Amino acid sequence: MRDFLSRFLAGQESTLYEPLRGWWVGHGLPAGVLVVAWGVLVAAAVVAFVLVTVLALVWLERKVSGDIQSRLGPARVGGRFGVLQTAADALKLLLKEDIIPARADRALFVLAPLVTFLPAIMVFVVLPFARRWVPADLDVGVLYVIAISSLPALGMMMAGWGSNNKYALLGGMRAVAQLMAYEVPLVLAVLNVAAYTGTLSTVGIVEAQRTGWFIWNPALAPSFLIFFVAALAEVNRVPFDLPEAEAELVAGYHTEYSGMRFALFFLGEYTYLFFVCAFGATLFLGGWQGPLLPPAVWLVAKSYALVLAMMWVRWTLPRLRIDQLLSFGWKLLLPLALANLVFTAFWAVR
Amino acid sequence: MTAPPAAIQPESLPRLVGEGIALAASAQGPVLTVAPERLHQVCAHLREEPDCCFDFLADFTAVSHPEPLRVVFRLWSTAHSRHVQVVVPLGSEPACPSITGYWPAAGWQEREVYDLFGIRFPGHPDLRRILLAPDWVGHPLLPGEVAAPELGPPLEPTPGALGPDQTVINVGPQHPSTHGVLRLVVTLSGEEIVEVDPVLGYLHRGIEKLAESRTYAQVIPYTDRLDYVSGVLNNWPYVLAAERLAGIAVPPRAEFIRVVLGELCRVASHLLWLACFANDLGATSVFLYGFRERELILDLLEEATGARLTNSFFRLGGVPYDLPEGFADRARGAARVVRARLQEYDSLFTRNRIFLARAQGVGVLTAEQALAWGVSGPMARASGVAQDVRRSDPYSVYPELEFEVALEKGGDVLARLLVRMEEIRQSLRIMDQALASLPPGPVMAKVPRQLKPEPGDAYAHIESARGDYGVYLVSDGSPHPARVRFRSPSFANLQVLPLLAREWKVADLIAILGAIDIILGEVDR
Amino acid sequence: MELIRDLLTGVVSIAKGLWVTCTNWLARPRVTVQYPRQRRQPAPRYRGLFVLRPDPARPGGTRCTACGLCAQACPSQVIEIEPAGTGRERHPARYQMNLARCLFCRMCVEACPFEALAMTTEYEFTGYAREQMLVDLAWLAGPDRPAGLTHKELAAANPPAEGEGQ
Repeated sequence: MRDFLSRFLAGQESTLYEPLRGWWVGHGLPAGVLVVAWGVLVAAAVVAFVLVTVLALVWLERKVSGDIQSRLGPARVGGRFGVLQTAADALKLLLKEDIIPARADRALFVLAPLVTFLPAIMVFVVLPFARRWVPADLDVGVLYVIAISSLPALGMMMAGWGSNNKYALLGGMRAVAQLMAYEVPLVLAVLNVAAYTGTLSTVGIVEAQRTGWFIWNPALAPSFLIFFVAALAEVNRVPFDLPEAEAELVAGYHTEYSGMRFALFFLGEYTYLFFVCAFGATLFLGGWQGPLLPPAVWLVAKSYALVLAMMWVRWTLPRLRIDQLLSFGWKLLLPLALANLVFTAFWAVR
Repeated sequence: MTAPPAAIQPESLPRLVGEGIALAASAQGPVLTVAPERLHQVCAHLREEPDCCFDFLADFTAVSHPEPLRVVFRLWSTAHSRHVQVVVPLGSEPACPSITGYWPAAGWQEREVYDLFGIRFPGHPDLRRILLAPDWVGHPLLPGEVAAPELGPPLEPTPGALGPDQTVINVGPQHPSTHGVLRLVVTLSGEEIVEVDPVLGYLHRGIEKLAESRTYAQVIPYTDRLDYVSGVLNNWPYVLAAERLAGIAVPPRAEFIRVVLGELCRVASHLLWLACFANDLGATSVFLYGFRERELILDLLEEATGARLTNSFFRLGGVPYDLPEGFADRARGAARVVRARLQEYDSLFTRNRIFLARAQGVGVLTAEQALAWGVSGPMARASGVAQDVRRSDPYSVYPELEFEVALEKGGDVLARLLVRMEEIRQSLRIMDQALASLPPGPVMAKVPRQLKPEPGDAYAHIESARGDYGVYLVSDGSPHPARVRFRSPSFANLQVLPLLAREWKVADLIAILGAIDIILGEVDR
Repeated sequence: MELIRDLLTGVVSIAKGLWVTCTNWLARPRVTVQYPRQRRQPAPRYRGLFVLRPDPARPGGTRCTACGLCAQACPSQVIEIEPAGTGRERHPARYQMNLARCLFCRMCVEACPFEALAMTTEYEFTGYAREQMLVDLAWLAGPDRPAGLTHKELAAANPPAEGEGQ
């Protein structure tokens, strides 16, 4: 039993599923029920993890920004470090009045937060926390991520249009333009890694880094930088936060949202932030690999390192104007990504 | 030290004297009294004669009491460094030809006079109310007017002529980046700006009317509330004008203390501007850093004056109290910290590639435009106009102090930032010199408890953090001023926003507006 | 090649900015003052709430002679005084300040010739109704009020040690 537990915690060989299935079927119970129940359990576990992470990330953002700005950040709610601040804020948002503008397009307005938030959770399906700790080890994992991560743009446009507000519309249009522009270099950077390893499976990519993390690989290091910059744009963070630039558009596409609907946008943003950092850790920083500590802890630690880097960048740089942003994406980042792809091809066969 | 220089008449002025035009000398320069029908002739002369060359509209207002109702404006010649005042008494019909053809800067000034006095300006391109609501009935600054009239019938929105693909958005009045309650009606074509129409008056509190029922000393705390981030720089032109009107001489020690506090307020104002400007562009940390440094300055002001923002520390005849013990050391310490941190702002913000992309070449104002539109202060100096009231028309003890006037040629948003950063350094330099040369003596002159100056008028202007800040005082011999006019630099500077923002994007509008550096308290009064 | 140079200077400028925020990230102390657990001490001359200096020997219990100069000096008509008694015995029967109107400009304190009116460094004053903003003689001369600084004391080169101090 102890042996089993240690192997389980190391995420190495087996999960709970096989022995459980064995026991289940062995007792003559229908396998289908187990499959469904297990699926629901795993989904719930992932969602729970994501939500807790998001609360932690919001707290971390406020603490990091406070540190950088010579001030304290949350320091009251939940002890000296204000750890319960986000929970209190979420509770407050839940209790707010639900306002839908009278002339808003109700269907679009109501669905938009969901269309933005759900894909952010759905992508976690292929994130490997350990060798066997993946909700679904799809052979086309990377492709799945790319596909699902184009959906939030739709949600932003729905919010922008459905709000019946010029600021929101401007914000929504900016968001879509920006996301489309930066999708391409992001995809190219990611595909570069996939092409190098020969597999689209996230687990496979991590396994291929057994001999060394891809960030140290001269062909793939530029991919990492491109990925990082494009990811900043995908998550609408400064310097690419024009769609929600407070100073200019009040709040961009989510100007008219309040209460829980706004909370969904906000949570979606942080969920997606965590995901791109975790994805980056998977692709470039060796995923769950690392000595001593359990693999899941390593993945989370590496993800947090990237998150901290993104926060550092956010609180330092001013934001780009929309045409400068688009110009940077299409005219600089994209050619660099293509050049990187060519270079990797040569590097791989040298 | 406060005696104004002897008035030099441009030699060509006496040639104008004739039917409807009179010339008089005053302590503050020549005064031309012109009948409305001769105004064009006079303006042409003042603009074009080589020894006149009055290219800058320093102030434009109207006075109703003592009689007659008259338009009063003051011009400045950058070439010859002198003023001329033109008074246009109006007869039974309150109309005066518009001078916008000669000095476009008169655009908004004439609108304000129309708004508050009801005087019409034939020839003005767009004469409508500017500070009060469009449906206001009456003109508050006319004598006998009650400042709480009834409102007209509700307005219908007028559908303007919008082209295809054009839309109108309101930036403000509630908006994180308008630095106060300012409404910009922006006509957009996609992201590109077609037209900007600022709507003012949300913060109009009627200080000019209010001042008419206060004594000269009682007006001082109200002046703080105009440019509320610049503290004593608001008190200064007012007390200067009152001192000129009443012939009060200020003791030397008080003059130096005024300079110290004035320059501290200038640094505080620029730091706040930098912080808010960076925040508008997304660099939130610079916002916090700017305020952190500003705290040091505000602590010093609190020590000396008792308040951090609304100092009201200047009095007619000097300052009420001396600087506290040890102030000089603490001030120097704060100056050291601010200087060091300015380097940090340079690496973090000024030289940042992204900021340069947002600021370089954006919203360019040429020197000619700046002068024509009455722009002053760092905004004008960023376009190469070498005018700083502390040098061109000195007051207080500035002639004895060594400093450089920050000047840039670019005329874009970046140039305005560089000018203000340099001004912070120069202000600290001036403060150091003033602290080092504080002469002993009293800090307040002997002034009667209630000031009753001889009937007359006086104009005084200083270089405030935002530009040429002037006060025009008219006395009728009573303890209350007959007219107090505040010529605020932000009001004049804001007039060029539509000119600068055309054809740029919404994001640039924010950058350009931020770089003009307006404070709504001063714009709306 | 211009492009490469431009790109490099751009990256370097961003790196320098990141370094500045990094150094601030680790720097101490923080500037936050955690009100209300921690409170900032204002400077001695801070223009806060008012106090009427007590004088048990005089009628009315304060040094105030109801001369009305403070009310006259005030720009905002904050002070209302009803005098009583004559000559040496003159004192305020009623002395009321409407702190909701007050600009805290200190001109009343400057005007007082009898060193009666002083300004303290107290800055906390709240209420739920406008009536609570009116303070009267009893409050102004109350036994627990701090001493504050009068005009003469403010004018002294060193504010007195027994006033509010840091």
